[in-house]
Amino acid sequence: MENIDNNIQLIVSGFCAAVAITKAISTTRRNWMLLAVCYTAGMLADLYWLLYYIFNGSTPDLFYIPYLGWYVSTLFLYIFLNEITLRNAGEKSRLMWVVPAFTAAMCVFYMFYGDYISNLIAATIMALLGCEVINGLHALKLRSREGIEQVKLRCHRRLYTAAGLFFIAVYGMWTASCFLTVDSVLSPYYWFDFMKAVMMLIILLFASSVIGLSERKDEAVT
Amino acid sequence: MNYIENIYICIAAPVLVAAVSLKDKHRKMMLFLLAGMTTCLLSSYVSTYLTYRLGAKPYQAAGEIAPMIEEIMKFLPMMFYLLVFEPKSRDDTAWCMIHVALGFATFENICWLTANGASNVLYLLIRGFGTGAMHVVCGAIISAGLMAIWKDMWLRLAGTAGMLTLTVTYHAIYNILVAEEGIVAWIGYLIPMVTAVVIMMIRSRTENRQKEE
Repeated sequence: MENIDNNIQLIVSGFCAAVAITKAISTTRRNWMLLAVCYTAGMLADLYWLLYYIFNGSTPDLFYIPYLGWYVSTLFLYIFLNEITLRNAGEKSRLMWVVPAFTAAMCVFYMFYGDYISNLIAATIMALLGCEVINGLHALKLRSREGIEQVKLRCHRRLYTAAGLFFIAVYGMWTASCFLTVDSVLSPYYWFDFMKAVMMLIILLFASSVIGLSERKDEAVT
Repeated sequence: MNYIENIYICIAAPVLVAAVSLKDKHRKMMLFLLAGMTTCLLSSYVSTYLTYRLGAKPYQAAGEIAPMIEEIMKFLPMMFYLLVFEPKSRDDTAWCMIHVALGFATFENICWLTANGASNVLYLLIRGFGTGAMHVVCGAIISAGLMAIWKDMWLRLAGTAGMLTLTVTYHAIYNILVAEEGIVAWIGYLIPMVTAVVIMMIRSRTENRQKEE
């Protein structure tokens, strides 16, 4: 089951990376470049994990090579969301502080199962992503009162919601992996992992429409 | 026993003499070549130390420790150049990184030859192109990526981590594949060459489009 799951993750991240790289080359837009790094890092990490597992019969445990790939992927997703945000400087939601508290608590919990450094890096990056999602959604609520065009708001809202669901899927997967007992499709670990893969695809789809809207706006200005 | 320090002295001496005698861009080129060879020597020390310290098997050393150490070490001369000299030209920075990678790949291949012999020409041809292209491709990825994001101060740290991670993972995948035998190893040796060709095609296409505009 793990091999099937790894293959699905690799196919999804490979497809997303191919689309993002093609778009980055054809448009030379920075947002697409950020997404290209995000998906390529994830795809290479998935490929490395799968190859290591096939040829060595175990998963890499000395250094953090695949984990770094996944963390960088999440970090660049955060940077992308930060770049396209409609948030004004200093505009933050009070609810934002729930995210670092949650990631810190989960980090302590995961430390019972894994190592310290890796969990600290993961918690920091996930806190950044979570805060960006909350602040982004809060800013959209404020902008809707200011009469910004509905299409733009809808596209951004969908993208941030998908990123929020990605956040939930990642935490669900990590938590389920702590209690992984059966290697079958019935294990919640695989449900969350599949959900993560679907969210990656959906994020690409909504990101594409958000970047498309800003491209049209730039063209109209010029 | 492989005396890499002795090999280093023998290879680095003429490059150093050339660096002293040449001027401007050519001197810089020689110095970056030398920096690449030096980082190769130093990364072999660090990798060997970590392999013994962590009790790693040869497979783990090749697939997990070496890529991380080599890519970080290779990046250090480039980082020094970017931070201290603050080059303005993108091309200038890109070829500096590629010269570091070239020096690294050359020295690594020489050490490999002294340890394993030079009797099988076909294998050496494939290995030479594979390893050489792999280091150059990694250098190209880092320089291209960093140049795209270097303007923004806050993105530098994240971008550096991102580019290093991409090259480390790419390098590790190459090492895992070439550690196998037969068709898997051949695929491994081909990956950097294919990537280099794709990068060249993208570059020429982008340049053509810029000219048209």
